[in-house]
Amino acid sequence: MALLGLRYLLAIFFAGAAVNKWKQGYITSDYLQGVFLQRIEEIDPESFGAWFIENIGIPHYIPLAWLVCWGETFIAIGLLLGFITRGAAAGAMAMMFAFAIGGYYDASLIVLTLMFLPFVILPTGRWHGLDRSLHARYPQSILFG
Amino acid sequence: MPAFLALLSSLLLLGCTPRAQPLPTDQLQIRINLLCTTCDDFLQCTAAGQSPNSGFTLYRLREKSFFAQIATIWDYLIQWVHRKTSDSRPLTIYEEKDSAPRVLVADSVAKVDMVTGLIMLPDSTIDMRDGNWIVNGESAGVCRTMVRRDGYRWLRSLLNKPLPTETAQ
Repeated sequence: MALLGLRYLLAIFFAGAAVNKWKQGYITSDYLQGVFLQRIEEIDPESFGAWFIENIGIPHYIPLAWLVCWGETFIAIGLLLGFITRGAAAGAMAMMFAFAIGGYYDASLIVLTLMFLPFVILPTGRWHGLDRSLHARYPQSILFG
Repeated sequence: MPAFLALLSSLLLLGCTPRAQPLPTDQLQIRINLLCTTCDDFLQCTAAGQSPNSGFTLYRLREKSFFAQIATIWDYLIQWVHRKTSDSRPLTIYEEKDSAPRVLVADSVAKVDMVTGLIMLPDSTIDMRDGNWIVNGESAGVCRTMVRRDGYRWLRSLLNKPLPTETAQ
């Protein structure tokens, strides 16, 4: 029960982040480029994060904006509806890891990333969510396991 | 259960033991957050009677290792019963003379003591209360915290790595 509560809490957290990005016009403007340009001044110029922002983030901000915006949206939907729940949690962990190596590293990200681990390991989508009926229908599929 | 009780009692004992209190941060001119292990702190020290334009020594208290950052989570959790009052940070010392920046010491250690308000460096000591820069026991000048963003900007000039916005101009 507590675990399901945490799943919904994390889903709301991701939904909030996704809504914010849609509101800010992440994928239709140069907003993310501005975020990167600001961030690069705040981090160690010799770090991998600075290299990433300078060589990948700033030149390719449009595909990255799509990835972040849609990624957060799908993760929020997955965790909220219990749909491909393990995949959504794994996606959330991958996204946290990408943020960390991409210049937004902070010790709290380690804790936040680990909070998604139980939802990768345990079939919480089958306890409560769409995965329950989908797994009954497609028992061989790893998506709804 | 016995293990939990043992942990609880040792935490209570830690909390009850009288310890020297750290100086209030509002009394400090130079402030270092002991729990921020991902922070880079730049301390710019200028010799007495000189301006930073003519030259300075820059002490960079660098961020700690990945595992030290994990340990900070524990420091955060127990800070109500056991407050951290000192820390060691990786250190790099730079110098700027006649507008020429260079690295003086690439890798060393700085010890920050919030009880005495002193930062012990390999070549000197900084008094966090008034920024006094003490070399060989005597006041040699004054130190101030450089805004992190300015510190990185200075570092970029040393590395000859301008910001993308600067190269575009």
